[in-house]
Formats: sequence, C-alpha cells, structure tokens
Amino acid sequence: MALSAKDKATVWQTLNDTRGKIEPSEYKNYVFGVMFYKFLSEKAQKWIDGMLGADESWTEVWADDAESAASEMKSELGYAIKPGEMFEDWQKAIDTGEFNIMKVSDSINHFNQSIAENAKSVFGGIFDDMDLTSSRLGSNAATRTSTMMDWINMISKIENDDSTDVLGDLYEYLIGMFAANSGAKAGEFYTPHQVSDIMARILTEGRENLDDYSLYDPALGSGSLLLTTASYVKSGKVSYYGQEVITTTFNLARMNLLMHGVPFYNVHIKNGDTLEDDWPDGSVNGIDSPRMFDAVMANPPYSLKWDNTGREDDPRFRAGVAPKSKADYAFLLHGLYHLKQNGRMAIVLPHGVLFRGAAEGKIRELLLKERHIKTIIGLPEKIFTNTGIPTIIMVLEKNRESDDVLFIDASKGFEKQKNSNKLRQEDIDKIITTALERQDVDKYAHVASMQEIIDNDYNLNIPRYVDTFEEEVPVDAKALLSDMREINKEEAKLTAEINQMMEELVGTNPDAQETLDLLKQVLK
Amino acid sequence: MTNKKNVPEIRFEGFSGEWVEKKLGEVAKRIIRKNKNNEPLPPLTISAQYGLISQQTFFDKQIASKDTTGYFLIKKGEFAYNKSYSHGYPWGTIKRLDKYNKGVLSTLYIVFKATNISSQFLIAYYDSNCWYREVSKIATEGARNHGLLNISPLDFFDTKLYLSIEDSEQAKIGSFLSNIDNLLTTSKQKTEKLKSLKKALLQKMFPSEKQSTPDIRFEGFIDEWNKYRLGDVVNFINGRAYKQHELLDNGKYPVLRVGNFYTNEKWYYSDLELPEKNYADNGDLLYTWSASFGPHIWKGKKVIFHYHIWKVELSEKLKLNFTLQILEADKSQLLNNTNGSTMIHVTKAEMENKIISIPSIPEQTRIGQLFAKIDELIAMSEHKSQKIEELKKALLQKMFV
Repeated sequence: MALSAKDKATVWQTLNDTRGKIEPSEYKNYVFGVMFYKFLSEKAQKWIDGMLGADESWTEVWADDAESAASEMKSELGYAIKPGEMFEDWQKAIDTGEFNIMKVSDSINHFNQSIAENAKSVFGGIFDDMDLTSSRLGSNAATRTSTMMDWINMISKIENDDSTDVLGDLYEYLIGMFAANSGAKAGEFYTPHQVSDIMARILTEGRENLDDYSLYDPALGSGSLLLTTASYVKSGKVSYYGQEVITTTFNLARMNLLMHGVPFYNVHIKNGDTLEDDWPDGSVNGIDSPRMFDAVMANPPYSLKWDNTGREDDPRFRAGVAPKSKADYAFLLHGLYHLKQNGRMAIVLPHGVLFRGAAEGKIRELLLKERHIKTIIGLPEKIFTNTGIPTIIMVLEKNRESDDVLFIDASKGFEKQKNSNKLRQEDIDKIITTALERQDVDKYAHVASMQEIIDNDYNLNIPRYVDTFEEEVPVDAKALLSDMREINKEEAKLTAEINQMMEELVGTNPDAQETLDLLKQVLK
Repeated sequence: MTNKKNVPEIRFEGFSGEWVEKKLGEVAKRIIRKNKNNEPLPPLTISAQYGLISQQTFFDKQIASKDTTGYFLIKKGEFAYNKSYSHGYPWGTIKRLDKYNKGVLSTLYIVFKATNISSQFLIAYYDSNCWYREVSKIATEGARNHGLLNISPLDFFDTKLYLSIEDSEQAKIGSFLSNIDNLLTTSKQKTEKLKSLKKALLQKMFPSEKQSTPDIRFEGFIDEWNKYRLGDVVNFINGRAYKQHELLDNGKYPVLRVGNFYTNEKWYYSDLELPEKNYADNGDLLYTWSASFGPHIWKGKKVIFHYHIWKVELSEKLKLNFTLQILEADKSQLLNNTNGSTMIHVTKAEMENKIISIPSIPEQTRIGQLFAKIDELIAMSEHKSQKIEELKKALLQKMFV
C-alpha cells in the first residue's frame, strides 16, 4: 500500500525534528542516500531470495566464490552488495549496539567497487554527496555515528512493499517538500507534479501503446518529468535519457528513476551542460548523429545567461542563436533538434519568449513559418517553488500539416495557497481537454490562423489571441433613478428639519449670535 | 460596445452616420520633447481623481530630482498615459494637462497630443472603459513589472478607437461629459461644505475648556454644563483578542473587527459563548482605537467585537447621540494634534482621563438629534455624488462605440 498523505507528513515532520543544524539542501543528500541504500539492499535481497535454494545462504555462497557470486548479481542488477553490508545489517548492528559510522562508509566503498561495467554511468559516484566525514554530522566519529543511527532508524521504519513503490513515492514527495522549504535557490530541481502531468498527457496522448518509447529531458532536474511522462505509457519498453548540469541534482535524478523501478539498462543520464556540447550522441567521428526521441520535455532554468559566442555553426541552432542573456530559445532548439519526425515536445518557458524581439523574434518567426509551434498554454503566476514569474508551456512538433497555433489562457484557473498558487485537478483537466480538442473556448482558448499571427507581426502574446476581457456590468438605470429620487426627497426633508431645529438655536453672546444668523442661512 | 453598425447606443439628435475605426497614431501624435534647458517646471503625477497634478500638491513633496532635463516637458492640452495599475484602474489612467501651462513628467509616461480628434472627446473616451480591451491585448507580462504595465509606445499608438467623422458630434459629446464631470465635482464640494457647517456648529455648541456654557445652544436652556472625567461617566470594555485559529469561516456569531467598519468585507465567525459584555447589539456605541479610530454606532445584528474595539457603556448621565458627537469632536482634535502619522493609537487610560462637559439630559437630547440629522444629510450628499458617478458611468457605457 502506498503511503497516505498523513504518513508522508509524519515522515517530513520526523525529518525536520532530526535535522539538527544541517541545512535542508545538504540534509536531503543524506536522507536520500540512506533511502537509496535501503532500496538497493532490498532489491538485492529479493534477487538473492529468488536465486538461492532453501538450504543456502548469501554468506555461504559468497564465501564459496566471492567473485562469481558478485558477478552474477552484477549482471542482473548492475551492482553487488557483500553479505553483512545490507541496510538490514546496519539496522541489526544498531540493535545490538555494534554500529559505527565506518560500517556505512565501508559498505559504500565496497558498493562503489562492485558496479558492473555497463552500469558505471548509472551507479558510479551516486553516493558522493553523502559526506560521512563532514563536521556538520558531528565533531567526532562518535557523534557522527549517533547522528547516522538516528537517520537509519527513521528510514528503517518505512515499510517497503513489492506491489507499489513506496520509497519512490516518498522520495518524490520529499523532493517536493525540500524544494518548497529550501528557499528560492534550491527549488531548481523540481517541477510541480501538476505541470508535469499536463505535459505528460499531451505528449503521450494516442501513443500509450507504442512498443518502444524514448524520452529525453535536456534539463533533467530530479527526473520527475521523465517519470510522469512514462507513467502514461502502458506497454512496451521505455528508455529514459536526460542531462543535468548540477552533480547533486544529477544524483537525485538517478536515484529517483531507479527507485521508481526503472531497470538500470534503460537509464541514460549524463552529468553535463546541455548548451555546451550536443548530447546524446552528438558528433560521432565528426558527423552529426543526434539521437532522436519520441518525446522531448523540459523545464529549463528561465532566461539563463550563457556563452553564445561562436554558436552560429552549431547545427542545433540553425534557426538562430539565442541572446547571451537569455538561453530560453537555446534549450528549445536543442530539444527540437532531438525530436523524431513524428515526435512531440513540451517545454516550460517564461512569457518573454512569446513577444521579445531581436534574435528571439527571428527564431520565433522561423519556428512559426516551419509550423513547429502547435500549442501555447499560459499558466498562472506563482506555481513554481523557485520563481513567481508567469510561465507558458509550448508544445512543438516537427512535421505538422497545419500551420495554426492553439492558444490557451489558463492563467486564471488556480487555487490560492499561502505563498504560491496551485493548479487544481479541474484546471489540469480543462487544459488537457482543450489542448487535445483544439477548438475555440470562449474567454479561454483560440485556434489562431497563420494570417492572424502574421497580422500581429509574429508576436504571440496570449491576450492578442484569447480575449478574456470582462465587460463592465451595465448600470441599472431603473435602480439609479429610484435611488436618486429617494435621495432628493430625503435630502429635502432633512434640510427642512434641520432648518427648523436651527431656528430654535440662540447665541449666548453677540458674536455667537452673528455667527449663528449666518449659519442659519447656509441650508436655505 | 458590441455594435455591428459602429454607432453608439446613445447619441445626440441629428447625427446618424457610422463611426470610423482609427489607430490612435492616426489621430494623435506622440510627444518626446525633453526639458533639455532644465526649466524650473513642476514635476507632475497622474491621479485618477485629480488628473495631471503637481507632485508637490499631490504627495505634499517632490519626488523628482532637481535636475529634470531627462524628463518629458508637457504643455497644457497634451495628454499623458500612466501605465501603472491601481485599484479600480486595471490598465492605468490617461489624462490631459489642464491645471498648468507646462510641467515635467517621468519618461515612464507616454505623452501625446490630439491632432485629428476633438481633445475634449478624447478626454471622455479615456474616462470610459472602451480602451481597456485594446490595451489589454498589448500589455505583456514581465518579471519585474510590479505595478507597472509593460506596454511599448509603438504598440500603444497602434491601439484602435472608434470616433465620429463629424467634428461637431465629437465636440458635443466631449463638452456634455465634461459638464457631467463638473456637476460631480460641484456635488462633492457641496458635501465638503456641509461638513464645514457641522464643524462650525460643533465648535460653537460645546463649551471650551474655560467656558461653563456653549456659545450657541437651544433656546430655553440656561444651566451651566458640568465637567466630568470621561472614565467616570462611561465604561470602556475592550473586545476579546481572538487567535487566528479561533476565527471560523462560519458559526453562530459574527466577529466584528476594526477593518469591517471600513473597507474589509471578509467576516469571521465564532461559536464561543462569552459574557454578555463581549457582545455588541444593534445601537451600541463602539470605538475603534487602533489604526483607524473613532466612535461608531453599531447597526446590525448581535456580534462579538474584537480586540482594538471598545464598547462604550454609558452611565445615566449621558445620552447616546450626544456622546457620539463629543467623541467625534474629540477625534478631530486628536487628528489635529498628530503630525500626519497614520498609525494612531489611543490608550484606555488616555481616554478615561479626558475631561468633558455635560449638560442636562433634555439638552443632550436636542443636541444629539440635531447632529444626527446633519450626519444623515452629509451621508445623503455623499450618496448623491455616488449616484452622479453612476450616471456618468451609464452614459460612458452607451455613448461610445
């Protein structure tokens, strides 16, 4: 059974209670590391249980011939774990009072040495962010040991179960919580599930039953976009490609995919700068050989500064080089470059890409002329954890027969929360239904012809196409008239009454009487 | 404005032709004249109510720097568009300079003058909402535009408007709506004058500190007024301080907070059963004592009044309407004595130690009645201005395409 929302909240609470002085952004590396080791151990144990006879034990088999035991596990799982170094063994050591933090570092060192050749890119250095000698854990080995024990005890309590990925589910929840609670800077690895869901459903619609499906996210983050998209693919093999420039985030993404049950041989993730060199495959023996994908998706950093010098000959940027202060179109063109002829792409970008001029204007015009832009969805502001700016999802295809563009103004459909806005299920469904039906919806969506777009000088600012303007409520003339009559009547009555009362006033000295005589005239 | 024939729904007799669509750029010309000689001209700002007005008058201080050579120099009769939105003006405001011969404006404004259109007509047009839709199309959202709409002058002069091809029709509409505007101003001035009348009476009908009788009083009353410490003749009861989690979205009793007297329409509720003194009933005298302060007679059903509100319980020496006026008069004095700071806080002890003069109950009754009527008249007058505003709005809705 998956964890309930309450269970997850309890875990989050426990995490906060045991965090001590460690920053959330750093703390998550330890928590996720321990969770991941538990996951790997349980996976290994399950494999062992299936392999060994009733009278055999992993310790015996390993003692018999360590090398062949390890290599059998490696060929199946991509890694091997020595007997006595499973997560369960850590817990046992704690229970019997024999635990030392060295046990964790030894286990991880041995794990690093037991990675299969073909799984190096998947598992290599995956625990590197878990620095067990850091003084943040404690000033000496004893306090570090005790900190580590707390965390292992906590993670130990999470019951994993075969039928659903409890750990994967929890992992994703915690990524979201860490993103929301680590300040603006740290949210960069996280795309809210509601946005991933919209992109995933548009990308996979009608393609759920493909035998082979390849996905690529050139600005990977924690990998949740890939996972959400894959969750709509019902059968067949899915291969996951992605690139992430920040090493810690790259590690997060690898763990995320694996803990969601993706076989290691389907994970193709690289730690690198997407804009710098082309990948996957890129130039092979001097020939451009971009790998092409069924679906490309990305939520890249908005308006990133990048080095755009000497990019004119880069085949990816044939449509134009994005300005150095804003890499938005560079990410877009990179993704489009890797899209199969019949593939689909969805990318989150800031509003500016719709109307900014200069180089970006030229790129936009070319994309429109070549019929690549299919749909533009304007999202509400404040739906991301690390920025409040309004964003859009742009859907692109390579070979479209039609040149129209569907505009959806979804900016007004959300639920207000404390510091952010959240898309509700009904908002998500409305966006997806509208995107798939491609029909005009009053004050919400419009299918614009190329002529309309040309008339607007290729400016794609959404209000030019979707009229969400609310007319002013007409004044009720009848009510106005009767109100005014009533006021006039009342005013006349009051004035008369006041005048009558004023007549009864007297001044108690000559000056006052003089003033009073004047005041009495005021309302006459 | 959804009229296929391009004619306004209401227009002056004798005109029947269709109106034509023009781009603003065809009927007006952008002004980019800078104050390059650094003439000592008043820096201006736009107020929705007062139009283009000097910063000195409007803010009581000058925001612009001394050197205004980089500013636009705007002349009387020219228009300026302030692209920042404010409550009730989602697309900003466009006004004509009428008050001064010349002034300077930040280059954030778009300045222009009417060339092929009646200037008066254009004023009325920009008073209506007809131009909102066009501007909403060209406004783009950016990252750092809090309060300021992102609108390029180029796009602005591309916005379309409909106008009569007959100059006389334009002029007639312009001057008619300008008259309505003047009527509105006059009506508001009248309200101000009524308030002055009340003030004059308040000054004369209550004795000063040194006096034992007022300068003006109702005929037949001759007794001296008696001085009391306010705390000895009324009882101030503070409201209950609710914690945020105790405030419910619905429940048995509404909880009256200071904001509810003014602009806040959000009500909270409570199911708590409290001592009777914590409730206010219709007709009770209340006093808000923090931020916005002053006496109010509660009109409505039974409520629990919140912290920052006192209930003022009167002894048998005081009548309700009379006490209200004493507290009103005291409030304007308090306001005079604070140096314009907006956060005013009065303590219970301060209030209780005030010395007030009180006449006999029959005299209190008469005075209370008179001022209650005057208050009503002022309210009526304010109401009337609102209705004239509605009339103007109704006309603006129908007299343009």
